[in-house]
This record gives sequence, structure tokens and C-alpha cells, in this order.
Amino acid sequence: MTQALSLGWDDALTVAALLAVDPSGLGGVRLNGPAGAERKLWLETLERLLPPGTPFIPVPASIDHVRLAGGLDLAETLAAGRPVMRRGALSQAEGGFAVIQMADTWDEDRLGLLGLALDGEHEAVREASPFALILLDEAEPDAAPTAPALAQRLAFHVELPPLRYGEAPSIGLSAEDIAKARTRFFTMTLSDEAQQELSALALALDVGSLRADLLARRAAMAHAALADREEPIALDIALAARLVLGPRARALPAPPDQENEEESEPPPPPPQEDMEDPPEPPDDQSEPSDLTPNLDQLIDAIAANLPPDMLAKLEAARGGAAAARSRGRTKAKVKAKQRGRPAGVRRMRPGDATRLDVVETLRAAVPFQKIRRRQAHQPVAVRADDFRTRRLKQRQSQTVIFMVDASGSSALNRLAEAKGAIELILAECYVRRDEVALIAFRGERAEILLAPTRSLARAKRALTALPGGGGTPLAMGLEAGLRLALHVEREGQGALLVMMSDGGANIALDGTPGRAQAGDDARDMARAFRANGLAWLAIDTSPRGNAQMRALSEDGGATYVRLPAADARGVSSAVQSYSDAMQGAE
Amino acid sequence: MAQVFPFSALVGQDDMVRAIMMAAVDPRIGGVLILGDRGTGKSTAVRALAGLLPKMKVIEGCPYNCPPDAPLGLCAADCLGKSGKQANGKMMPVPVVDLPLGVSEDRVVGALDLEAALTSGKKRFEPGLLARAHRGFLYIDEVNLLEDHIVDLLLDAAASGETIVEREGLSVRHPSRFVLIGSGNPEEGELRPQMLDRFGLAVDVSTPKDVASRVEVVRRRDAFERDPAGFIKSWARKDSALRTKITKARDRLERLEPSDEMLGAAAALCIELGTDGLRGELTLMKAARAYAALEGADEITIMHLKAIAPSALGHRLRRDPLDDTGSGARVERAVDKVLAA
Repeated sequence: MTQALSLGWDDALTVAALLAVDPSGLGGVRLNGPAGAERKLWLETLERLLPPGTPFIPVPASIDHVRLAGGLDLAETLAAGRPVMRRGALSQAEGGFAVIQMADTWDEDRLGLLGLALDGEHEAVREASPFALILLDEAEPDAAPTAPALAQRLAFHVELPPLRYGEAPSIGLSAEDIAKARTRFFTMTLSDEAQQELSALALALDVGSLRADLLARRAAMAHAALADREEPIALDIALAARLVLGPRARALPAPPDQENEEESEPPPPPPQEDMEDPPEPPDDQSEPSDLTPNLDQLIDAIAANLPPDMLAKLEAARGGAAAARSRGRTKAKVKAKQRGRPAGVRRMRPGDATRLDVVETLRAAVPFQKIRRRQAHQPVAVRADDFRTRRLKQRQSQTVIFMVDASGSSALNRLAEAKGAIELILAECYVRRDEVALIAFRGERAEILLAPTRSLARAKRALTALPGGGGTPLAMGLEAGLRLALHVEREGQGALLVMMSDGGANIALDGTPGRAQAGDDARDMARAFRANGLAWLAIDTSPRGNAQMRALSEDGGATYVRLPAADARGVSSAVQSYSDAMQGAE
Repeated sequence: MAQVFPFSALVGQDDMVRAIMMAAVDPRIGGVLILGDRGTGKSTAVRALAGLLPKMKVIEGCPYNCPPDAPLGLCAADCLGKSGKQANGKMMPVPVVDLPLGVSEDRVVGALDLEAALTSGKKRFEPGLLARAHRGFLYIDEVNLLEDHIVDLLLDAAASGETIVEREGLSVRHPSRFVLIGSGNPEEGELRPQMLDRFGLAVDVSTPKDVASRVEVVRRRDAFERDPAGFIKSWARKDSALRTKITKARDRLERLEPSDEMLGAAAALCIELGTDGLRGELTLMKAARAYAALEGADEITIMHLKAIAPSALGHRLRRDPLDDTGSGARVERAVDKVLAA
């Protein structure tokens, strides 16, 4: 998992220059943010820096497998009567860049292919020289991260700064400078002391992957090469640490004696100021060529570039939020048509990820052979309208979302049982491959205690401490569940919601107390469930049944179950049988 | 073919390296599962294996990597070896085949050769990854995230040692015996018990926590990336020593018979841990034997058994959702209790 750095233009363009020096060694960059002038400027800068003729291949999200990886071109093959092979975009990108458009919408299949290709392990690129990737990531900030496994291989993760009107940042380097730097880079080495500095920092920042150390090393060397230095100096190392290790930081060690330091001396100027226009050699040579920059200074510099709320996010990541990424894979917004069990054929041209069913296609062509043979001299005359593609049925995985009322007296009990039910469902759902999430609502808010996960270990950790008590913001709980469910469905999975409450809503959607408004809001939310066609189960935990709960489930189209002594097993089996009924109904 | 990092140049990760070498010595141990974070050298180690192992003899042109002396391939219809005249073999590196996550069934088991079908109307089978991995290794990164129906195919092939293809009007049967190597991060999803059980050994890897080894890893990797040929050459002697070690261990393997005492100890250990089925005991014994062979020992001793017990049994323990004790610790406790006496 990496964290996008918000950089100034100097740094952002330095990233482009570094990539131009060592594309395949650095792997590439993930650029966050929408399409716009900023991205255009950055891409154009990079392209301009590259030696003429370097491939810079845009790869659209709609690309099909053959165009991406190369292979047999079906339509051409038929027309020509001999095999027509196509070279894929990835092998065309050799020695240069493949620019992956809308990387956040790519399905897992093709992202996996990109990963293998980047490692040089895919047959499509095995003969070609290595290339680098630019992932254009337009995902919303709080969406699950795009292709974490792939991003791990890329040195940089950058969010471009907004471009103000009339502003035209430039790097002050030319393609010739880069060519010179490449020659310089070729013989560059990094001293062991400097590498120790980088690796120590990686450890301090709890950067897990060793690949980070290597990428930082190469970035430091590329930066030194840009400045036409023999060997990286402190400045290069600081920059590499900031740009490469920074996005991978999972912890920020507190600088020792912070208070004293602040009193005794003004805080050291953030290194990036020293590094304005880093590529210009004269400035740099005046720098002290101290090989081992101060570790604390480096950490400060890194912290300065990280988004302000990162620490909070890191904390959350330890517990629940990271579980949203728990599957470590990306969304299947484009439904994978290539997987699953066979479920018949349909008349359709094979396209992205659908495979031609040859037998059925030939069968469709058979009746016309005699007629067609008069026109063409092919052993078998197949035409495009004979094409049949296979239909595959993929079992949709399901996310069970618990919305648990954590208010009032019975809260602790209810939460504990919900937790037990979650662990049981997880323990029993190996074969079903379901995921589970937990939302608790109490007082004035609803929070996601456990983001969708399949990992029992993670669930147990996230659920160890459960808060309880306070008012009953039923509507908020429902709203949080609704959002999560819609999110899950957008990712191509099924959502099944389970609400556990004893009714008695007394906090309205806007956080104000009051039974009447709270009840109305809850009903509105429940209706939204019905409007969105969501399947949900309302478990009433009140001792004698609660009229409000019953009314809510009627309004929202929920299945109402009364479980006054809701225990983990009871809840789990109610959910299981409900889920089975739902699956059966489909 | 891309040049691979020399196996002997791997830094640390002793458990993983040992487990992989054991699987190379005796494929019957049944695969290695490597659990841990990304970027800990799992893929590097597995891919390095391809360069390390001695080359094997195959029938020239056989898509299933059959050895020339194979008693008639299973793929009876078009087996190149059966006529006898084609039996001149060629040497090829032991295949280490990558199975990517989003792979389709067609790619795994093989499918109708579209090219032949469309241009000449011939029905020809295009072998899949299971055929390519025969007599070698099948590597699945992030095995815990693999689609269920692909897992089914693998389990099927791993259990029977052959692949049966009945699809698209094809009816093909070919051998596919391979060593499964899986890697993954358990934090990102659990592995199905059937799949877990299929792995002979399971080892944990983690990123090195000391600066010196991180530096060493990065330095070697960088040297390799800048000059692959030179780097491989500079490690060639060490690689070749390892290769000899594996070859010798393979020879030694046949002569190592577990004593009754060892069999008893293995059984006692499994009973103490309550592992299901006999697979645990068998794996324990095979692993101890492979380890003893690697060490050049003349007999299997308790020391060997002790050393490999955690990786052979740790993943077979029945999981108790209410017990958080790591399985490694449980095995070690049992080892101390049973084998100390």
C-alpha cells in the first residue's frame, strides 16, 4: 500500500526527469488525480525529456487482451486465411513507457498481466526489453487503492499540484541532458554507507518491501546522474528517501526530544527548499557533500510531504480501514467474462475477455459451407456472423454487512454477539468465500469498525475493543450500511445487510436528539434500501418485539426476525439461512 | 528467456530456501507454501530455482515434457515417444511456470488451438500451464486470492498427477505432475483448507529487520539488474555447488530409510497435535528424509525431524477460532514434549 505524495511542481517534474533517466529500473509512477492540464503538462514534460523514438504508448482502459499482450487476430486471420499475429501494446512499449489510462477501472486479470509483464515474466514481453508503467489513477480518494500489488513495483506515487491560471512550470532540462545523465547513470554506484542510510530509514518508516530500498537506491543514483555527479551525495539520498520511501511509510517515528529542539534552534529548513531546481549542477555543488544525511531531518522532510491526515489513516489502517483493501486486489468493475463455469454460448463477436467457442462457431457455419465454397476457396468458410462466444457464469461473492446498534444498555451484549456471529461466519465461509463487514452506531455517529474482509485474523484484531452506550442513531446506521452496500455492489459483488437493533431510534440523521425526527429519518433510510433493491435482514433484539423495527422492515422490504436472546450461533444461522434463501431465489 | 537471479545469491530467508531445496530434492513432499509480506523475495527465490536445478531430458517436441524413457505417455493418441524412433531426447531446464491470478481455465488446462482450427479446420489441442509445468514447478503468487474454480483444477491435477481435458470437443489426457509453490499474505485472505492441506511444507517469511541484510539484498539485486550476465557468472560457482548438493541429496534419498523409532516419533507428534489424516505423518517423514539427504547424513535422526516439524505440520493444525496462539508455537511445544523424552 502506498500513499500519494502531494508535491510541488519542482518535485513532480523531478520525478519525470528521474523516470526519463532510468525508466525500467524505477518501474514507473502512479499519478493520482483527474485528467486535466496538470496531468497533460506532466506527461508532455516526460515525453519531451525522452530520447527521440522512445515508445510512449497510451493504453486505454477498453483495450482487449490481444491488443494488450499480443496474439492471434481473429478477424484478420479469417479474412486472410492464414494466421495473423498482432504485437501487443506492452511489447511495443519496450524500453519506454506504457501509459495506463483509468487504471482504477482495470480488472484484476489485466492488472495481473501488467505485473507479470513488468517483471519480464509474461510471454508477451519476454523477448522485449523492459519498460515502465504510468498508472493514471482517477479513483476517488477514499476508494480502495488501485492495484496495490502493481503499485508496489513502481518507485513513485504522486498527486500533482493544481495548476494556477498562467502558471507554466518547467524543468529546465532537455532531452540531451537526460541522454548525458543516462551515460553517467550507467557507471554510477552508491556507497554502502549511503545504502545503509536508506535502508535504516526504510526500517524506521516500517516500509515492508525490500523493493522500496532498491527503488530508492536507483532514484538516488538517477538524481545524482542528473546533476552530473560521480556519486550520490546527501541531497540525492534525501530526495530519494522523500519521493520513494515517503509514499510507503507505515509509521512515522517521533523525532527524539522534539520540544528541546524547537526551543534551541529553528526547525531545519525542509530539504525540498534546498532542492529547488535540483538538476542544476552549480547550485548542488555548493552543497556540503556529507554522505549521511541526518535521519531525523529526513523523517521530517518525509512527513512534510505526506497528506496531513495520514497519521490518522495509518492508525485506522492498522485496524479496520486497511481491510477495505483486505483482498489486496482491485475491483472487478468490468465484469470478467473469461472466468467461471461454462453456461452455454451466445451469438456474439469475441471481444474483450470473451473467448470464441470454436466448435459452436464451426457448427453455425456448417449449413452454409456448400454455398460459401462457391465464392471462396477456403477449407472452411467461416464468417464473422458465425461467431459464437462462450458464456461463463461466475459465482458472485457476497459481502455480509452487519449494522449493529451499539447504544444503551444491551449494546455490549449485542456487539459481542455480532462479533461472535462474524467470526463464525468467517470460519464457516471458506467455501463460500464471503466477506464480512461491521458497522456500529451509537451516540451521534455510525462507524465502520470492520471494513469488508475475509480474514479471520484481521476481524479478530479489529473487533477486540468494541465501544458501547449512548443514543440510538438508527438512521445513521442505516445510511452507513446503505453506502457501504452500494460501494460493494459497484465493485461487482453482492451485498447482504443485517441490522441488529431493539428499535427506539432517538437521534436523527443530522445528529439532533428527538424521537419523532429520528423515526422519520430511519423510515426514509429504510425506504432507500427498498429503492436500491438491497436485500436485508432486520434482527429485532428487543425482549417483546419492537413495533418500530417491524415497521422499518416492512417499509424497507426487509426480512424481519425476532431474536430476543440473540446469541452468536443464532445470528449466524439466521444469516446463513437467509443468505441461502436469497441465493436460491436468484 | 529472461535471465534469472542466482539462487545462491539470495540473502537470509533460511527457512524458505531450505523448504524450496527440500521440495527440489524430493518432489513427493508435495509443494511449498510461502507466507509473508510482499517484497520479501518470494518470487525471486522461486524463479531462481529454474536456474539452479540440473537440466532434465525430454523428448524433443513433446509438449508435455515427457522423458524419453517414459513408458508410453498418457497422451496416447499423439505421444511422440511411443514409436520409439523419436526417442532422442534433448536437455531442457526444469520448468518453473507462473500461474497469474486472473488466469482463465483455458490457459490452465489447455484449449482448442484456435489458429489451427480457423486456418486449416484441424482440431488440435493447445496444452495449457498444467502441461508446461509437468516435471517442474507451478508457482502461484497470491495463491490465497486465486479463484475457486481454478483452485479446483489444480487440486484435481495435483491429486491425480494427470490432467484430463474434456471440452470444446476435445478429449485429451496428459501427465501433469508438478510441485506446487504458492505464496501469499494471510492478512489478505484465508486459504481454503483443502488447498492448505495440499502443500507439504509451509514457511513464514518476513522482511529482514536489520539494516545490514537489507543493504546486502539491495546491493546484490542492483548488481544483478545492471549486469545480469556478469552477476550470474560471478555466482556460478556457488550455484553449481548447490546444484551438486541437490543432485547428491537425490541419490542419497533412496538409501535413507526411516527407522521404526523415527516412525514412532513422527506418529506421536501428529497424535499430540491432533492433525487430521495421515498426510501429516507422511509429509513429516518425507521432509525429514529430504532434509537428512541435503545435510549429507547417513540416517534420519530426531534432529532432522525437529528441524522440519514446524514447516511440515504448522499449517495442518485444526484451527480454533478462539485460540490465538500461533501454530508454529504449538508445534514447537509439542515437539519439546514428545521428542524430548
